[in-house]
Amino acid sequence: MRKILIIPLLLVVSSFDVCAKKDDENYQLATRLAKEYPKEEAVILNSTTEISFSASVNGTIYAMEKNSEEIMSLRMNARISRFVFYDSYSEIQDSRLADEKGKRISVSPVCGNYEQEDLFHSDVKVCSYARSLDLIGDILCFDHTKKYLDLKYLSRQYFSDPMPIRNKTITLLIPDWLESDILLVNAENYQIEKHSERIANKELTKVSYHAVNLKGYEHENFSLGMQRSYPHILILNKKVKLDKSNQDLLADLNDKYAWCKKLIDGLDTDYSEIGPLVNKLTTDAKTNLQKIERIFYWVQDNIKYLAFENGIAAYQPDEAHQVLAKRYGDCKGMANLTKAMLKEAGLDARLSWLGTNSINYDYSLPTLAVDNHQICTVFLDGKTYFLDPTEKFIGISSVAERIQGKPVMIENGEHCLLDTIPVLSSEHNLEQYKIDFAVNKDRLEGNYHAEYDGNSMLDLFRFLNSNEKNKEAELLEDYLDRGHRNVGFSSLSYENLYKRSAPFSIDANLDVENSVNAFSDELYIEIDPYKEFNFFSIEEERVDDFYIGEKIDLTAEISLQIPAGCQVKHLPDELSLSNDYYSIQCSYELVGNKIKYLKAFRFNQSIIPVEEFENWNDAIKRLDQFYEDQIVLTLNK
Amino acid sequence: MKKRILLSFVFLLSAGQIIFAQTKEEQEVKERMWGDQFEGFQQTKAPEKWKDESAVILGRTFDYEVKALPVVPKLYEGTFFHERVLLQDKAAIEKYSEFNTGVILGKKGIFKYSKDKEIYIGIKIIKPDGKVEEVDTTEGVVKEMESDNKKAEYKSFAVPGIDVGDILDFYYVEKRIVPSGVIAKLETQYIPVASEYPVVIQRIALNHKKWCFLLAKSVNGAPELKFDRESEEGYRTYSLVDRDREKIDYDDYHWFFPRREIPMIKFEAYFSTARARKVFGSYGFFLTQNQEMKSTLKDEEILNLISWAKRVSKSQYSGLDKFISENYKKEKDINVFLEEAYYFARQESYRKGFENAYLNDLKQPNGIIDLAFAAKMSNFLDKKKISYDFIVTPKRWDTGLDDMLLYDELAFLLRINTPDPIYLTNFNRFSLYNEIDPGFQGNEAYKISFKNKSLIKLNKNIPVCPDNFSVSTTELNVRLSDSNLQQMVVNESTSMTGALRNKYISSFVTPYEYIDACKNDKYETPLLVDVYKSKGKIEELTKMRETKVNEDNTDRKTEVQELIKGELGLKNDFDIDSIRIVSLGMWSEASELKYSVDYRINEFVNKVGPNYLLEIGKLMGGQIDIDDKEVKQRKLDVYFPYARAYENEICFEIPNGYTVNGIENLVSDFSNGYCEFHSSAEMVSNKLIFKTRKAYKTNFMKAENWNDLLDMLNAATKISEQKVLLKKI
Repeated sequence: MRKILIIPLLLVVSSFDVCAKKDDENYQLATRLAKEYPKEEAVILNSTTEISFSASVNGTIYAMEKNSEEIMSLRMNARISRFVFYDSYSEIQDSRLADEKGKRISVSPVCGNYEQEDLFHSDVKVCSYARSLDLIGDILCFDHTKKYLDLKYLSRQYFSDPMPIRNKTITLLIPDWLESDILLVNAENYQIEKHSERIANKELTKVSYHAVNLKGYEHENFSLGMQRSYPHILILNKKVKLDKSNQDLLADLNDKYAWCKKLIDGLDTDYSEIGPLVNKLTTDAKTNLQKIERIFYWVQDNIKYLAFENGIAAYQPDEAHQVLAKRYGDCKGMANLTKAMLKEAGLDARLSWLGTNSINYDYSLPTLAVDNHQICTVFLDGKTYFLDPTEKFIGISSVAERIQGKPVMIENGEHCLLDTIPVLSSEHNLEQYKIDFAVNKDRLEGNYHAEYDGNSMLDLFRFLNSNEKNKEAELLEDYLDRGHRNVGFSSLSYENLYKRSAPFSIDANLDVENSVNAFSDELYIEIDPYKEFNFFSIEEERVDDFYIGEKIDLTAEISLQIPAGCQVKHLPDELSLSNDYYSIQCSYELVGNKIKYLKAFRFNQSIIPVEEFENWNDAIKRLDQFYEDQIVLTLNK
Repeated sequence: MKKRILLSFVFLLSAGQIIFAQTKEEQEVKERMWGDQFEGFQQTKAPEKWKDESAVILGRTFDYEVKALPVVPKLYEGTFFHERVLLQDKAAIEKYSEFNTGVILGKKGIFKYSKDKEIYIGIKIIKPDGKVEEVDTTEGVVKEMESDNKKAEYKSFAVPGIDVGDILDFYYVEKRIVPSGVIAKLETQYIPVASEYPVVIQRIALNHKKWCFLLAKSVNGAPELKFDRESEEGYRTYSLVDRDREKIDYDDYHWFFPRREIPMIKFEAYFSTARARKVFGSYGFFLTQNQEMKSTLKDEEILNLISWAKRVSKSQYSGLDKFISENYKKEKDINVFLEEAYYFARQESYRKGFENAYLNDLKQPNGIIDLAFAAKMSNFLDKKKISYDFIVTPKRWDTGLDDMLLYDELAFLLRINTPDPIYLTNFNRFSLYNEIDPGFQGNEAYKISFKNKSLIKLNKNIPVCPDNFSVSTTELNVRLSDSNLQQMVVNESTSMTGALRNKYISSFVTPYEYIDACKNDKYETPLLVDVYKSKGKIEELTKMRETKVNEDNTDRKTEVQELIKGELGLKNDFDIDSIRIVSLGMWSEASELKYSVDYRINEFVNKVGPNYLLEIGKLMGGQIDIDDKEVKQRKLDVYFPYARAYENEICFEIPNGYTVNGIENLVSDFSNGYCEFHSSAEMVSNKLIFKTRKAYKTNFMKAENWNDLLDMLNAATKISEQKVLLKKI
């Protein structure tokens, strides 16, 4: 009897020891990793994704994506949340949470529509799985399988996750009957190895990518999104070489265009409401260009933009007459209404597809991942006009920054046209202001005049338009003072509000409190009330390019009347910085009894790329130093 | 950003089952809502005086129904909201163009929903030519949420075809079934009559049936609810009609309690069986014994409630009696005696179980509610034959004494009748003996006369602790770095007292500093490692503690960094070299929170030619920025959280080779009855000593005195923007 008792006891003790040792190793690893990732609660030690393709007897093709993750907590009571996204063309088949020993953990996921800011509706859904890990070094295993019902929608796989990943493997098992191209994108700064082998007995090719030490993905402000910066593979499923398959894939641009065109061919516009409206708008238009303008601007002004993304509907526009009746639509619906109205006016208008600047693929890649936007293209007298009616207040000769330079696929019978949206220079967005200051005790007072064009004007109009009409002057004052509490505007008068054909201009009285400091016989004067880009350095650890939103062209001339009995003792040195991306010029000059301060900021591109951050931060440091310096006047004794 | 227009009308919606098909119920709701002949729903024009408003509400009704369901222990609760609004600009169109039937949290996939709820929506657009277009509400986008096999649907839709000048006429109806038991309180509702748009005419009606009771009151100038009728189906209706109501604009206002200022109806509905009503009496359920709507609280109800609480607590908390009789049996000084009792109760309620809960991420012990605390302490005082008053007063952000009606509005405290009265108010983990909770300072209040079974209004309000009770005193020793004259090297020593200490203590004191401060105290709250005997367990606890302490120190550094950054208005990140807690202020004899922080900042020293301009005013901390609209238009009274003062002494070491100019600009002297700001500066040896004191002397100010406050804020802002010149010799 005693022997029997001792044996199980020994077993217990020895298994306890093994666990303890393992736990200890985990603890040590976790504490080491915690130093490497001080802000993270957990890290994914290993993550694998295996994608295989199958054909059912009836010819239906589908893909299975099996995912497996081993997650380690780096803090006590770490809250782990995992999210799996799906939509109309994919489903979650299986999911499982387990501890390190494989023991299942029962967790009910919460599933539902994924709500995104600025998107009225999307068919994207999400299941979230949440679990706490009590101790440092605890392990959670999460497996799930996702089924893709249409291979066109299996287009991209990212290596990164919001949590850091130590080891990530993506494997594709491509059967001989499927023609697929795999492209590795944004891999330059990452350690990613590719391995490919043919497995003859299974009639497939195994392609694996292995990445190590991936930082956690974090959404950064002023970012164009992860597609441009984070490593991923693009999966181009081109052709199924099976007799029975009914899967339509995209082998080339022709296939892509044919698929898009099929969706618009089904549209059947009812012109009964559109016709009278177009007549009303164009009846006294003298030229076709005027007709285009009136229609384009009417859609901008009267149709509210609401973003829908819904499976096939992400490509399928609403009927033009329905958009007109509802007075709202997404980009496709608004483009389609514009097209229908222009056609009704006798013009050559076409629907067109493109990707905005958050996407950096082009139409050489036959994939749905290339485009996310629709506009209307008009051909008139040998010129091409790209009309994006979602851009409120934009003029006919302008195009939004987000589509400039982007390839565009234009509707054109059986074969599409490819073109590129023109790139506008920074001068197009010219913002300039002029101030004449005089000293009044500890403040500067003077006249302010400013002109806004292009994007700088659109920003102002959109700000005003989204607010209540009886607050216009108050809002303009807010806009002009740019949040500086010592800056005050009064007696505003302005021209060309909400006009697209001429720059908006404004005149006002301006006073800047606490901008003059008197020290015995000297006046220290801070002449610049705005100091654009002051303290505008970019965090060193930033991953994404910094998106400014527009190409800036800003010039300012601020002059100061030297008070009677004073003379200039000190003027700040000139600052001149210039490279391929931007130029900053600031200078002071004594002209008669005035000090003239000129500054100009010109950005040739709307982004500052990661490789430019160091230079940028140096430039900002010098600009900060320049702004610190002040005018010093001495009182004549 | 989606606009959820319905939210602007106070009630918070959660998702429910939406009725799509033309069910009989939907048809009934539709007929009821569109068939309402209320005068406002016939209006098509807004008064001329409101022609520049963004929108004008031509008519609005809010009808509420509550009844008990037959047989099953459940209640039916319905809200019927109907609004007819004239849209006068694009901003209004934007606001009214999207509707959402539910509130969901899109962040991180966490959803909220409730079941047993039906939502009905109807929308009509009336064009300026009188043409009426009914919106097909079945067209919206249905979304869903699912968890544990429970599914909820919600819906978003855009209102089609609206233009400036159109009238939008819509209803939103919510019907809920909720379990009741024998007694139940439904959620408190606050229905404002003034909102962001002016209203031509509106109606509020509360309907209840037998077994369901209403507590309701019009406050802040809203019209009185009056008994209207008893319908054939048994609903008793109380209603009001309100006309010509101007909008109320208070976005981003400071020091503002909406429930004290906005004209509104507050109400709660109860259900109880006759027997339950008898048994529960007034114990938090101020039920009428008949069907009349209740708008006032009777003395006897409050008395009953307190007597009940005292009776219940008699059998509890025997630990306190034991502790006092064992340790302070012969103590004659009431103050000593009570202080010990207070801290024993605080430690027992909060410190016990704290460490275990903290290490295991469990819910922290949350003490006891103030009524239970007051009842418990009053029994103790009775036993010790100490003279005291049991005081009841409203929570000041909820209501004034005359409008007190709901249980949740009541606060309870004890006043010991010593020559200098001692106040015992509800406590928390860090609260101190004889400190009056700012939540009811300055309030009118009743004391309970148990003998006469009555409430006596206090001759004097509950005291407002003066500004020198809640003080933040900061000493900054500042020098410029030898290697970089544009870098400030700062040692900050701050001490905080009173309500300011309470506000900031949890940002500075880590859980283990708190635990250690209570270690081996006389209230017997030992560390967990001292409780366990097993070596393994002790090792495990030690390891856990070490980890937690490291994590907490890192978190605190980040939090303090953010706090200083915000306080000084720094634009760039900066380095903290050390943080040290000098005193936690856990006990009355050393009640200040004191800490010291060393940091370096690279702002505020600007090089101008060979000299430096020092933005020394910035070191007194950022000043409150009040929007122009509030500066010019504020007509609402000002409710400060408490009277308080901020004192700074900045000692700036002038670097060798420089002189300082401009210290005369750092002097200010401003004071009125509500607030003050003083500053002074002098040179002592090679140090510039700059002192400031900013005080809010009271916790309340009438709107007409608003400018008195602005004057003080301007004086402080002016000094905060002052600079001195460090001139190269």
